[in-house]
Amino acid sequence: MPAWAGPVTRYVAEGLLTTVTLAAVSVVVSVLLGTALGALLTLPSRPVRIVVRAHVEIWRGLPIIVTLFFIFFVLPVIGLGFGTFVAAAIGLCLWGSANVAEIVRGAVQSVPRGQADAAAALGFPWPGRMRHVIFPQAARRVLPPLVGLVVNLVQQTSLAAVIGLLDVLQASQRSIERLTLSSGETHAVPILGSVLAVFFVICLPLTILSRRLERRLH
Amino acid sequence: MNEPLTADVPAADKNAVIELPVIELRGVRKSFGGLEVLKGVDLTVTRGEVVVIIGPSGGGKSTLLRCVNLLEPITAGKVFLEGRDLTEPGVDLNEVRRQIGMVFQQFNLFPHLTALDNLTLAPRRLLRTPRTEAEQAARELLDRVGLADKAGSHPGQLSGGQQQRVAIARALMMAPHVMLFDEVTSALDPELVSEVLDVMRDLARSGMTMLCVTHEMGFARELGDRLVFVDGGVIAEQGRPADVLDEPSGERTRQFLRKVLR
Repeated sequence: MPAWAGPVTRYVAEGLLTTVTLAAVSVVVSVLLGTALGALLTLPSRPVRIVVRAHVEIWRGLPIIVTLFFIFFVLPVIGLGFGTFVAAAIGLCLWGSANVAEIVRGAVQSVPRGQADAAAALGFPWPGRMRHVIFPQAARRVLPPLVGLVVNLVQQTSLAAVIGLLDVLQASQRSIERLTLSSGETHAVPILGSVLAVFFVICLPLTILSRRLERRLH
Repeated sequence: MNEPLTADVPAADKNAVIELPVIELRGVRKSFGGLEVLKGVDLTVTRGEVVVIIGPSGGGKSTLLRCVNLLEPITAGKVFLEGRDLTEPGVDLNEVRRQIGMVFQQFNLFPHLTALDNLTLAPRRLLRTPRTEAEQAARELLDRVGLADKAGSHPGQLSGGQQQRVAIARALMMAPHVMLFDEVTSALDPELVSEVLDVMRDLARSGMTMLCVTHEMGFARELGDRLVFVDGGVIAEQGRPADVLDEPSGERTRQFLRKVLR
């Protein structure tokens, strides 16, 4: 083991902790907020749908990196300054929740119309139709694309490095630069290689899970 | 509210009093966008009557049926259930629909629930029937439609005929005053049609008021008290099934029957 391996590993591990925390926060908030937004998109009320639809289209339509720049560099102009972690989390949650909302809406609307008809004919009011008949069926359809989105969200956390968050990518980047300056040699391959491995190890099981769920659905 | 109007009548005269029709449609119109599908339909169904609706596709049969429980909101006209105007503002349609059973062409069983749970869902959630009580009633009904052994099966594990029989039992769980059947055998393989018709025959003979859209002319002739021919959004002809089938008076009825009876 070269002498630099220990300190670099500790430094990068701290970055990894930040990455994992950011991913966890983004995933949890995106799923909860997105499910609520997606449910709102299926409401009979047109004004509600229009407002939610606008929100979803804006944050889904912008590249995450643009959103991050906007939050980190533009919002402070109107007095809304955030730290790098919070700014990154807000950006990822906006993007993630907008995408989850679309997935949830799609799943709800993919339940055949006859299901709602049958529930209505039995006398279920609209909330009961949704709760007992539509949502249980939509939930199964939601899972495969949702897990796919979670994988995507975990990967997108690495964009937080561009606004200076000391995540796993930024930590490894700085380590490489410092080693190059101090020793004149570059150690990009082992360090970035381990970053690659880390993302792979986190995402692969999720991808497999998503494929399993999809197969079970059919 | 809707206490029988016969209540004040001396017992001896009870039979003489004309009971309110179970279903009454008055001048019902229904448009989808600019397309008028029902152009003023009047129809009365009395207690215990089996009314069979036939007619060419696109003629408005299914829409007519869906207007009875206002699954389709109507554009004009009135719908009465046992004398109560359902088109009045303030009528709780969800409460009304509990009294009108409906069976669909595509069964529309809830695929995430077992046959038993399909039957108990509405009584348990809407009427707050205790689970054991609801399940006992459900098992009795499943037995009545010949599916006592399928209580634990999911719809996906059942044949079309079995699914449709579960769907009929599900509708009966709410003890409806009238049953609507919307081409319930049209999606079935030919060899499965009779098992569903058997259940409907049993139901008709038990005195259930029934309104059936169907292509089964044999069923219409055997069990129908009245045959209604719907074409072009209106009732073009109606009468005793044998009369209409054997000696249709209208030209359109003749043409239609020539095609289907060939």
